[in-house]
Amino acid sequence: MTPDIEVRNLHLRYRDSVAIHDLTFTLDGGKIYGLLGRNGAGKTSLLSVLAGFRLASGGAVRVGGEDPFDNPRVAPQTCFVRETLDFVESVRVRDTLAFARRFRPYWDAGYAAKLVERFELPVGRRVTALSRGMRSALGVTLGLASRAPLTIFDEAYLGMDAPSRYAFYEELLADYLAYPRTVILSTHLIEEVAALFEEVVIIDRGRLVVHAEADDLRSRGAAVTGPAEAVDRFTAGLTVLGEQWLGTTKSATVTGPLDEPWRREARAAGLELGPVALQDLFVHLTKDREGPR
Amino acid sequence: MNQLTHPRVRLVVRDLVAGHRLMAGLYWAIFAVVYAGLNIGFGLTHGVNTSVWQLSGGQVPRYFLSAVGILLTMLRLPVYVAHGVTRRQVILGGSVFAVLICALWTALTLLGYGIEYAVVVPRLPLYPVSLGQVPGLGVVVFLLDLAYLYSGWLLGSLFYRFGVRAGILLTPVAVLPSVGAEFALNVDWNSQPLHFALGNGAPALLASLLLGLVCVAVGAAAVYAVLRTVPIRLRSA
Repeated sequence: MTPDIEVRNLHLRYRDSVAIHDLTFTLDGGKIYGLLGRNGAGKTSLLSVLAGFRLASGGAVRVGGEDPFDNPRVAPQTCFVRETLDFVESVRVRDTLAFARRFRPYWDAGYAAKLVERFELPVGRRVTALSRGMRSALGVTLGLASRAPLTIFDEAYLGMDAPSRYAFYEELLADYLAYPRTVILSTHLIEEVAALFEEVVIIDRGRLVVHAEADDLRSRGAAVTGPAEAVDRFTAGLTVLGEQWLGTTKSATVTGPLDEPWRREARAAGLELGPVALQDLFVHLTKDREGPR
Repeated sequence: MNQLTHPRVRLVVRDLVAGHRLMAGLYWAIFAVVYAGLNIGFGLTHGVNTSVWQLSGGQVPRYFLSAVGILLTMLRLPVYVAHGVTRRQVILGGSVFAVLICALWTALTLLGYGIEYAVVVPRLPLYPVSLGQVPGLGVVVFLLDLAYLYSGWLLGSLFYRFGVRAGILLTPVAVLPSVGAEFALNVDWNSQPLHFALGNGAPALLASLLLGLVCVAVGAAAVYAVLRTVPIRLRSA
């Protein structure tokens, strides 16, 4: 019910470009993963291969130990909700839900009805007549109620207003706890959703930048606050992601080898150590984009 | 498990049948009205001296089947794959649906002949189709219908896979199954030379049917080849 994912030396080439270069990582089943990357990093291409939407050009991908491409055992276990939705648009919302009920083996009609109510989806309206946000709400409804052992959301909530997005995050977490499965969220709204991630995979230009537990990744950075002189002394040699001043007090967001002795020493010197935003670390890890591809 | 009876293939067939029921019904209702109008118009202005059904009853509905074929990939394939159906299951289910809709089309075509025969035969003693020809005609119409549907399906698949420009360039390839079947099966048009060469009679009809079947099989194989590994791309928003 919670498939592991194994990616080994994955390559994906398009006619005139390479989307994924020699990517290797393993995701254990039954966790919520954040897949982060800048525009054009290869996120959608990678997810398309995992979901069997695309054939890899090289390397190997295994979902629950099997090649996902056109595999009749893996395909019904996978739900890939994309930014542009995959359903017949001329039909009504209720027909789309009925279609999913017929084709999704783990579909929960009661839960779908609850989500329809929560997102205020007009079931009698044609999909073409829905606003961008409503279409996204329909997409996440289909993704959540499918209860697919591997559920992937790729920027699926674009256009949804903030209350609807937060409703989605709440529903995702609650339903995941009740029905554990492997969930991958690809998003640019990192801070909004960061609390959900158990592990984070960051890719850039088709290559793996980092794969780590979210807490471990956060611990690679810290916000150091205190007297400016002490802050400067303790952050010397570290990578400074950002600085702020208030009078003689300074706060510096840093990353580097922040081991426990360093933290103890900083606290002993009267400095406050706060968590660093995942988004700041992401920006730092992917900022050298101007280099050769 | 037999792939044809796989539950997800059956689901695809059922969904395609349900999804085309209304459109097919409307099409035939409109077509029957237009045909009846044509027939009455012909009868009033020229007298009854020909079968209007033979002129229009088979060919025009076949274009509808081509349109159905085009939409099978353009409209339906991404939706099925996104809901956990494999490409192979979509192709199998689509093929079963193709056989069903073409069988219905054939039955309606033959019914058209029957109705026309009943209505006009007292005034048209040399009606072009006799009762003994109905089974052979049925097979010919069925294979032609199927070839047109596969041509449409191939055309839609080529456009989906290779894009608009390459799709336009590859259109002649897509129409090969239907043109080939026309050549092999249309006893009154392009296949006349073939019949002449083979001798006009039962062996010629058998050879025509076999060639028509080959055209359908080539169309089906080409659809399979194009769709087997086709990527499911993001639809433009």
